[in-house]
Amino acid sequence: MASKQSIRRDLFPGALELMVLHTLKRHPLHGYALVRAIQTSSRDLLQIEEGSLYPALQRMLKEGWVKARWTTSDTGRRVRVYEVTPKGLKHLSGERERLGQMFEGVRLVLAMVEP
Amino acid sequence: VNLFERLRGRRDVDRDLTDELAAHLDERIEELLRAGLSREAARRQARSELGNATLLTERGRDVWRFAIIEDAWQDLRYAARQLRGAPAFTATVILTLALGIGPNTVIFGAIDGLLIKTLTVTDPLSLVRLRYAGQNQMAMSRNDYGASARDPSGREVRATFTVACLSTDDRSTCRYSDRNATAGSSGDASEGFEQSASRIFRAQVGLITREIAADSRSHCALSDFSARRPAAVSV
Repeated sequence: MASKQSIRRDLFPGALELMVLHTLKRHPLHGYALVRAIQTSSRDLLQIEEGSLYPALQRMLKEGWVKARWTTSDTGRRVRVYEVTPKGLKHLSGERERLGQMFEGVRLVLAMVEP
Repeated sequence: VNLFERLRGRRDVDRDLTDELAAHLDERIEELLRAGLSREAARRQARSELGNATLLTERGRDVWRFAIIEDAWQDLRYAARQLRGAPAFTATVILTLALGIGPNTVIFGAIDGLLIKTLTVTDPLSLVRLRYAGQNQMAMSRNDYGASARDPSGREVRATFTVACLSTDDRSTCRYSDRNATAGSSGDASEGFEQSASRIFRAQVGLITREIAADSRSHCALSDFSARRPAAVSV
């Protein structure tokens, strides 16, 4: 639980959407599978709270970055699967570029040699 | 997207979110069961991790709430632009609406006043209707009754009234009683009558009873008539 708290505090605005879009780019997933996929990809460093994920998915649906459909999972359960749209891919591309610039800026600042 | 579809969309958002969170919970419970937890412990932990499902649904719905308002505003502006661009069509629409709404409003107002609204008196259904029918003491029909009384100056006045009931049911059968009438002053007045309920517009009754209240003779005449529930007779 402590790690969840720290992750939530440390994520910058838009980071969750970015990770969701990137994960969905590989293949469509339902909410629970998304949580698991992000957790696994980050080697358990990131744990996505359901309280953040579902409102974020609604925002992304509203923006048209993802679309959702109801289907039956491998376990026979009715699930709502999300997949990224062309608009979402465009947004992902732009955000990745901005994120790269931001990281580069931070890296340069941190790389300054102390006097 | 029209308003109906938007409202239906909102219901869909609620239903989808509720179902989605339930599915999420089930998935988590399954996983915890596979990890060796008892069903009860798994359910408890899964619920604890998910948090307040109702709150989550509301937060998801909030995302769309402003979208609905924004869409409605956009639709309104679009409609206004379209109407401005077609003045002849706009005039026709406005005229049609005016002709449709205006008479309907008037007719409804009349029906409401005459048939639906009751008078603001205690037990309006027990009101009786009195109609002044001249001073010739002639009863022109079974419903016309002569009445005798004194006006405030003490002069005996005679008048003929028609009595009917304000009611649409059988409860308020009216009875005429001549116990207070001036004895022998009118042959008609000595006869009692009982009349079953007549369907009379209530507004009409109200109007007439108010007129009677302003008329001293009519006011006196009231003492000659009594309804089955005289205490409820209001003028």
